[in-house]
Amino acid sequence: MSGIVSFKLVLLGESSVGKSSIALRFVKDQFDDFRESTIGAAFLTQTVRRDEDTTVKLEIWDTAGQERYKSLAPMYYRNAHCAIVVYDITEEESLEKAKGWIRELQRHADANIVIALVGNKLDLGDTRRMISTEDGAKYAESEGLMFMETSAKTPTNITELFDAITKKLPLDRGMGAAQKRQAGTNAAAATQQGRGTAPVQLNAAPPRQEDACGC
Amino acid sequence: MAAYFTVRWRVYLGDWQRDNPSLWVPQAEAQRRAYRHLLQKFLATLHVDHVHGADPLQNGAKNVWQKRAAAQQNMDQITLDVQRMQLGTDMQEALTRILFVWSCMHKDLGYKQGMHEIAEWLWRLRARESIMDNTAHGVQDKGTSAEACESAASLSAAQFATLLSQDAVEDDTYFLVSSVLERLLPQFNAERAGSPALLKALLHRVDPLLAKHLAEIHVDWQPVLLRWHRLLYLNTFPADEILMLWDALFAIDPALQLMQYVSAAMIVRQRDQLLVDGPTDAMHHLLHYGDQEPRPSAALLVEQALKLQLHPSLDTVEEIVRENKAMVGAQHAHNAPPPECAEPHAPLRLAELTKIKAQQFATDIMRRAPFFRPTLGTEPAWGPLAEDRLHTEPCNIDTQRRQAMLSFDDVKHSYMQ
Repeated sequence: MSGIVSFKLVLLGESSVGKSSIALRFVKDQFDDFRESTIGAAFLTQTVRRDEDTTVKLEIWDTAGQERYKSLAPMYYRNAHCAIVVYDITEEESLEKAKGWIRELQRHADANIVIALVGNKLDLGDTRRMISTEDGAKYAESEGLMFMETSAKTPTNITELFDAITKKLPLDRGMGAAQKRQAGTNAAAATQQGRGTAPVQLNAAPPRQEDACGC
Repeated sequence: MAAYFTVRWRVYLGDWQRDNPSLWVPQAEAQRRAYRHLLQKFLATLHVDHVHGADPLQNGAKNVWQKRAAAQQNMDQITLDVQRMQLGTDMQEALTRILFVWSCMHKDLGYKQGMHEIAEWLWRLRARESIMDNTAHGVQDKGTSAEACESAASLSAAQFATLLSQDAVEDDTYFLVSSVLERLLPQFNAERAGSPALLKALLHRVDPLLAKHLAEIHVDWQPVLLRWHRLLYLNTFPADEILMLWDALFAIDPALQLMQYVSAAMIVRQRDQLLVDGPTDAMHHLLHYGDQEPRPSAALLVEQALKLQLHPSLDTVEEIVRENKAMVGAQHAHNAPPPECAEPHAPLRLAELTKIKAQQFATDIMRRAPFFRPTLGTEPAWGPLAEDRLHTEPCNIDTQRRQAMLSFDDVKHSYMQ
């Protein structure tokens, strides 16, 4: 299989655990000590080389963490192929919130969603840690999730995190999987073809149609 | 004369009586007192420990404790968000108080993330527009107070300075924040936020080709509209464009019914790009709208939005497309900088204000003329006549939506051809 396959990734977790910082470090390799809160959600894209033949494009939805917007979350994790659920290792309660998100994803998201539990702010691990690595790892293992501790600041494990997720994504389920570039086909035909070759799920986003529109 | 948006907007948004500038100062002062009263009252709810007989286990005391818990929860959320903005201590505390009072006045919704950004923006604007009263009892035109009483339409320099007093930045900002947030409540209410029904119906009617393409690539409208509408485009356009956009909106349509049409005009402006976009690129272009080149002109958008509302037709979109091309052409040809924002960066001194300027300003506001007028466009779409039409139009979103869908059959016909 070759070409670019797109996947939808959503970042979830309590307010100010570092979701936007992780996204920004990964996409732009930048870090600010003070990040303003995210309104609604930010949308970022980044391509990752999965192996020699395959490039994976991640569409990242970096969501607002405020509890009061929780009812809007399905809008962002609907059809997501992977989710990074972030907690702050210096905030005890943030792991409980992360567990809440994971339960919600297991119940309401795509059954095949790849979930990673991530303990962020590892740079504060020596001085202000409240949640041991073991606690996070154990929970992740019991739920069958990927697990990593990261620091968007230093940076530690950010590239590793996204590489690991990318490797776990089933290529045949991405948007645009197995779709050959067909110059000149009209949009309707491309949609038909997409439906035939990459059935994901009933309400999944359709395959990409890069050349579909001749307008 | 600088624009003094924070005075104009108080009038446009209904805090002060538009046709009687001599009432503005008394109204402003009464409102400032009200804010300080509310602030004291609500801050006291955080300290109910000392309330007489308020035992959490006693009957009747339950309410007091619940109130305190709710107030404290709002306060914690506000503090968390405001602290992340990296402001000076004074401003940080003022914003926290403003938002806290607002959340106590709107208990059903409370504080929600994003409100702090609107408050910050309005606070900065109001602070920047403050007038420094650096003359002892700064009133130089003593005669005018008496004159002001005689003529309702006049505003003396001294009155003007009171309206923009440096000591009342927090109080005045509260009312600006409150007026704007009241109008944005549906955007903060999770169930109704970002609903695309009207916009989709409108696009199908006025630009079926684009609407069809966007439907085919399954553009997810809700996150886009939520981002645009919740902060009234604050994160979408650069700050000086926001001034123009908000000013035109508040002057022309203080109820903000035009918002959906502004968004439609924004989409039409990007139509050439969107028509060739796949799903990811379309989302990227819509969610990073302000990054595009050439610079989007916000004031023109309001004029176009008004056209779309008054005449939702294919012809209107054609006209808008022509206007946009002319705008791009003009920007390329002259490499023209965007219109200057005439707001001063240092507080204006009272002495610089003359009676005539202050009066001219009041007259402008009474005519509801937007400070910025788009330079292009065949004819000004607003004016008394357009305004009358606007206000006789049904203001109900559902009715607007039905009207936009009325010609669905036309749309179907245009597909068949």
